[in-house]
Formats: sequence, C-alpha cells, structure tokens
Amino acid sequence: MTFTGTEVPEQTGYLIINEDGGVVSSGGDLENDEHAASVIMNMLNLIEKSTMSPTENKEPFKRLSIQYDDHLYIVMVSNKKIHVVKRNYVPAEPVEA
Amino acid sequence: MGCCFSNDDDKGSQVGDPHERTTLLGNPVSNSSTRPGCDDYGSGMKYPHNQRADEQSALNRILHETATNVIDVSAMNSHLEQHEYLDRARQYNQRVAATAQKYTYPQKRPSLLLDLPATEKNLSASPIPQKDLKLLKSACENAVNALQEIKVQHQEELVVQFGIP
Amino acid sequence: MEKPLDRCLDEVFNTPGVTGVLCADAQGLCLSSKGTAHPRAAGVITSLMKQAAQLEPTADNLPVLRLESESCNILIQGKSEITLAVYKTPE
Repeated sequence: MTFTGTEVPEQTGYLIINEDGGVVSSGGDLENDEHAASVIMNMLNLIEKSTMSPTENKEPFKRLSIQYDDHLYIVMVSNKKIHVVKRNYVPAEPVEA
Repeated sequence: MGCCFSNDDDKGSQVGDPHERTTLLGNPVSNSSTRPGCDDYGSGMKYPHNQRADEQSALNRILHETATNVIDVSAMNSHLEQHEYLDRARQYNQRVAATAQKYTYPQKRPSLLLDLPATEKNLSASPIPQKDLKLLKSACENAVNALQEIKVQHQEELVVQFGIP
Repeated sequence: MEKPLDRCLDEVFNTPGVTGVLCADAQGLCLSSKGTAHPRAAGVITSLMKQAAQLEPTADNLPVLRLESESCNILIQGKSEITLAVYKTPE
C-alpha cells in the first residue's frame, strides 16, 4: 500500500517509518525528518502495551496524538509500519487560561 | 698498507675471543657482505676459499631452516576429492548456522500501539478537545501548587519526629 | 500531608468521564493515583513525556499526549517537574 497522506485534512507533513526505525517515506515539513522519526520510534518501542493500560482492562492502544498549541502529530501502526501525520490545528474555541 | 694487514690480523683472531670488531650477530653471510671495501682489498686474495665456504654453509643453513618451517601441503596424504570439498563445506555451514541460531537476538520489540488497517481514517482523527485540554491544564497547575505545599509540611513533620524522646 | 494534591486530583477524578488520575514526579515516582490508573504506570508515563519533549525541543510549551484505545483515552500533560495523566472514557 502506498500511502501519501494526501487524504488527511489539514496535514502539513507525514512520515512512514519501518520496524527498524528507518524512514521509508516522508513529505511536507516532515520530509527526511530523522529526528522526529527516532523520537516517535522511541516513544512506541520503549514501552510495553500493558504497562500503561487501565487496571480493569488491557486493551491495546490504537493511536497516539502529540498535540502542541497550533499543530499536532497523529501516530499509528499499520502493516508493521509506523505512520505519522503532522497536521495544523485551529482550536474551535479561543484558548483561555 | 700496514693498516690493511693489521686488519687482516684482527680478522684472523675474530673466530676466537670477542673484541671491538666482532659483530654481535655471528652470521657469516652478513659478516662478509657488510665488510668495508678496505677489507676486501686485503682479504680478497688471502682467504678466497675459506670465505666462500662460509657463505655457502650459511646459505645452506638458511635454506634448511626455511624448508623445515614450510608446511608442504601438496606432499600431504589427505587428498580431497571434489565432492569431499562440497560435503565439508556443507557440514561447516550447517554447524555455523546451528551455532549462530543460539545467539540470534529476538527481533520482537515491545510496541505501544496495535497494528491496525485503515490508516487514513485513523490519521484523520480529531484533535484533543479543548474541554480536555483545559481540564489538564488547570489540574496540572493545581497539582504543582499542591506539591509546593507538601514540601513545607514535610520538613516540619520530620523535625517534630526527631524531637520525640 | 499530601492532602492538597489529593484534593486537586479528586477534583479531576470527579469530572464526568474521568476514570482515573495519576500524578508522577520528574523521576517517574508516583505521587498519587486514583481509579483505574495504576501506580506502576507512573514511570512509563513520565518517560513517554520526556521523549515527547524532544520532538520539538524549541517549542514554548510541552505537548499534550493522548493515547487512545476502544474504551479508554489517556491524556498526559507535563508541567514543571510533574507529569499528570488522566484516564477518560471516549465521548
């Protein structure tokens, strides 16, 4: 499957990382972003699923979001590859303290 | 010419006691080759036969030593046929593979996320709602404030406990 | 002595949809946990946040993390030496 990330709204960049942490494909403002790839790889691989699960069920996680003030990264694993999309993000309501 | 003759006398006595002209390495081959030209002038005629015999025996000795150090593969009895080569190669490869298998690092790494199909839909997920962000933000601020209070109380308690006899 | 922190986490815990709360210090020590959040997760939550902070080291604020499963969302925020995780049922 060749995924280019074009279908995702508001996306500004994408990364596809293989099991070994190598960037398979990338584009936009994540083009060849090895740093982001290694950080995200670390986040996913240093932790066993069950450690963080709530006590009453051990459901696996399907998605990780990393959200900043005006953009966010969405990370998921599909077909043994890590897919990362960076998207612009406009708060629906004004941010207040 | 007196100097030449005196040199020759020295050379004659060289076989016996060591003195300042004896070379440290007792190799007759190097002895004759490193001899300065002045010596050859005097000795060339005087000991032609003797020196050549020395050289010859030294060369023979080197040849002999070299011969004993060389392992002559072609002279060995174990002659391998073509199929024997192949058999052995296969056997060695098998042993190496069997040994290597014991040490292979398990490739399975922990992964936080489940492997899922339908990438596009999942990557289009909505961001964290503002309501939740606000909740987190205020909770964090409160927690940081609460923690600062803990520190002060904790110190006082320690002092009180140490004061009890 | 940790009453102020407890009170603060209770406040969050009583919010509709929240099933668990956990607060950890910078070393991953669990300071307090409630509901479905297991104290064991404190170290992992802290290290996850530390990793995430390296994604954009120049950003003004730490990012907020969200981990989603079918029945639970974990929201994680870091702020000056503490990491707070809130377990919520998805809406």
